[in-house]
Amino acid sequence: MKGFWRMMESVLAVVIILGFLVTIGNVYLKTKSDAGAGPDIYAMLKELDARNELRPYASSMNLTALNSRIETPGYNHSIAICSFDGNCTGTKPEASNIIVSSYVISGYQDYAPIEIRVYVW
Amino acid sequence: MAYEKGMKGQFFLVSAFFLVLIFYMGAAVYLQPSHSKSGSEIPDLFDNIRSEYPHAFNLGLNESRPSEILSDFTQLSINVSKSRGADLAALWITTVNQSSDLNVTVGNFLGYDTNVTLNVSGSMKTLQVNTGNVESHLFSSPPSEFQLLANFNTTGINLLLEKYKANLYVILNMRMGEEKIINEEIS
Repeated sequence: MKGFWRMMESVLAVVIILGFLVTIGNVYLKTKSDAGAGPDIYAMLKELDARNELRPYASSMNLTALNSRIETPGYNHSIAICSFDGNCTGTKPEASNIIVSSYVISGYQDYAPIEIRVYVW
Repeated sequence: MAYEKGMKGQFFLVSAFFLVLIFYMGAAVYLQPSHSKSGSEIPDLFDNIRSEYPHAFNLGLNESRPSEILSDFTQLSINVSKSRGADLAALWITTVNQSSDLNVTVGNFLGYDTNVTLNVSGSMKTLQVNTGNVESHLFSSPPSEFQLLANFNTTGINLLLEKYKANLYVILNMRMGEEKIINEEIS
């Protein structure tokens, strides 16, 4: 009987160790796969830029117009426009598992480089 | 009594199991990063910077300061790349006509000094361009369609360009760990 319980203890120890490895593995893999599984925001911003619907709104800080042109079915999103001195206009969400995509433009009619950040969660 | 004495170890083991389980469940929630970058971030950033160069050049031409704006945009791109953990190096060459002459400007942001040998339809000039600097040379009266040969380090380019059109050539090199992307932009 004593040997049986020792064997059970060993089995339990293995379960705990495996559980640890699987848990850590899931945390890592989930982060990786989620990052790749989200909508392709960069492609979307590039497409908007090709249609000349990005620079005019971004340069004039028209976040509402820009926001209405970005669709992320099944996900929430928000936009921020940042200058390169660190000042940002827009909403940075307080959520976990946020994917951040960004698009740099040098300006619209004048040289005024900005970074458009899209947060998806 | 014997049964209770025999089960004492298992009770602690089961308790430990549940404590460990609760710990990992908590860790799974709190250890997840609040922000994650897209998996294709570096190729996207490279593509973004490369395709933005012609815009920056055009804005520079509109403001009559193409070299200044290209230098600023390059430095900004290097800083953005660095903030994402990538190293960006760039060298650009512009040609802008001045009356019947041709102004060729080289911007070196490779991270080291280099000599750039320019050959505009047979007329040659070697510019020593220190890193972070811009050097220019005026080639007198090249044909309206000219050949630009440029050599620096182990790179050689051969372009057939129009004199009365402003031209830009950029070579970009982005490195992040083992990942390395090199590409050119001509406009």
